Amino acid sequence: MIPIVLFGTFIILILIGTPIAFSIGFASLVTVVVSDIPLLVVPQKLFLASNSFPLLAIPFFMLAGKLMQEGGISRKLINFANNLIGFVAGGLGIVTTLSCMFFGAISGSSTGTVAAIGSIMIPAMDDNGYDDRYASALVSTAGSLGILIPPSIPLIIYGNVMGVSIANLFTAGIGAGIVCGLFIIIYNVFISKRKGYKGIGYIPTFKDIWQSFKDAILALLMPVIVLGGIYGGIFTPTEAAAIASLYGFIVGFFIYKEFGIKDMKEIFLTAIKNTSVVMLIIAASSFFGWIVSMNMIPQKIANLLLGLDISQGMLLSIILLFLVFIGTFMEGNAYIIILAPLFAPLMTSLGIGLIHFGIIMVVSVCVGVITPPLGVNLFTACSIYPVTIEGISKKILPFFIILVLTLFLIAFVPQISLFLL
Amino acid sequence: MKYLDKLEENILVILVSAMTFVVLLQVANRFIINAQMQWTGELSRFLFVWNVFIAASYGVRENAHIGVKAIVNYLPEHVSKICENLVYIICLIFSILVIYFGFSVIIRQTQLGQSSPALRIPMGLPYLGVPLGFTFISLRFIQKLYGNIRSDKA
Repeated sequence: MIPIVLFGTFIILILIGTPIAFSIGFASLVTVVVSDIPLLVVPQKLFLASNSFPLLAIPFFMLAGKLMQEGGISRKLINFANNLIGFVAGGLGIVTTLSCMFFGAISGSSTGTVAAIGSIMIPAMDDNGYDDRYASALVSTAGSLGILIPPSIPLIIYGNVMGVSIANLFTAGIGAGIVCGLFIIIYNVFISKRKGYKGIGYIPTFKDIWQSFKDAILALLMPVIVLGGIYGGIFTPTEAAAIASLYGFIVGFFIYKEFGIKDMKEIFLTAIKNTSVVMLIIAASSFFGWIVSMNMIPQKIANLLLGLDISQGMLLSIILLFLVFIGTFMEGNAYIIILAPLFAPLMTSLGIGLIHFGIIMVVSVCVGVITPPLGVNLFTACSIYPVTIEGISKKILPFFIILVLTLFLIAFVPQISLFLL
Repeated sequence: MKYLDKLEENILVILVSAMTFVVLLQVANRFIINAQMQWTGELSRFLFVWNVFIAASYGVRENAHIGVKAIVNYLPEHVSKICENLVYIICLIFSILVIYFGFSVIIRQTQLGQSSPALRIPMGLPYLGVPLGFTFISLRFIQKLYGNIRSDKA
């Protein structure tokens, strides 16, 4: 009864277009009323979810990402990638993917990465004869690496919910992110050969490469400081994120002089707005997740699936497909908070550790952010370049297949995620 | 409403700056005078709570809270308009309940005399961020609802 009220209300609210945070919150509220729990728990759950030092990393990584974007960092990263590999066939597509990976090492969000790289690379690819729908689909997909390559907001959230080390999750994200990026690049080269997408017209000299590397060095140093600081035990992820913001400010304000003090208000407001969107969903989801776990739903699902007479590999495949299916119409952060505790016991019984499972969850979020109806990366791409959702959706299918195959590979080959640990 | 816009923006800029400053102070302190301060972690968390819920109101104003519009967009215009107003009313009901029970929690905590472990401030103060933020949020939804009804009449 309780699960039907909870999920039923949630689905109806989503269908009529209620903002996700409010759909989750209201559905939980209705369930609380039905199950005779005092409503005082509602504000308490919202407070407890946001009164968290690990999650405080989110606004700082948002801020750092915004500062780096405003500070002209994305252009310098793109320029470096362009000199490295831009000359081969499909060069601009490879540059886009590499730039997204570089930027993903600075930013913890996928939409932030799409906006930063896409606003430069989609027009550039369009000018060079790429199909603009393909270019937008490529940026949307490569941008999802922003949440796989550390720092990553979904990994912070997962670590917080499941009580595992965020530093270890970050390390595990590196291997998975590189594998993912590699597949995207291979597909891009294949398509470019077929469609005749050329590279930049000249082969850069070593001097060009060196110069663009020097221009980008301050941007490339940031992940070294952040990740080095976390792994070296010098600071916590939250402190590292605050340091990253300070670094972004110093680089953009004093060194590149791309923004002034009066631009700071806009930067602060954008960063905190994006944070609150994520945090409101997190707060509502942890409330939702609390009701789910109180009703023993995870155990029920686990018992149901473990009772099936199938092999372990088969069971894992079914779970992965189920995760992909749910992930396409659920917001990524809510998805992690609600589903990770739900499936963790089952995954453990299949011999998948919590770190490995975290990476699996985030890769399935990557699939979700590029798939309609809730592909936030597609929306972002549409908001920065005049292409339609329908247009991108036609070109996204191959990328969807690539990411799903990568998800299976990462799930069945734990070494991809765990080799650095 | 212009007044609310300004107030909201200024509160947020101050809160974000303060939050950043406190966390950086915590790091600086550990390196420079090698002292661990208990209150910085707590204060930054409390500022974060205030920040999140007040910024959520700013997010409503900027239509930043994402939802699934794929189905609603295919409905005839007057039906989708009804859905939109219904959504605002649902969000408003949720906000008002959070405000009411949020203040109830604060009153109860004040009666119990609970204070925070490090800063020794009444726990009602950090909690206040939740109902206060939702007060702003509910004003935003009333504003949106009012705007819709007025454009219907016109």
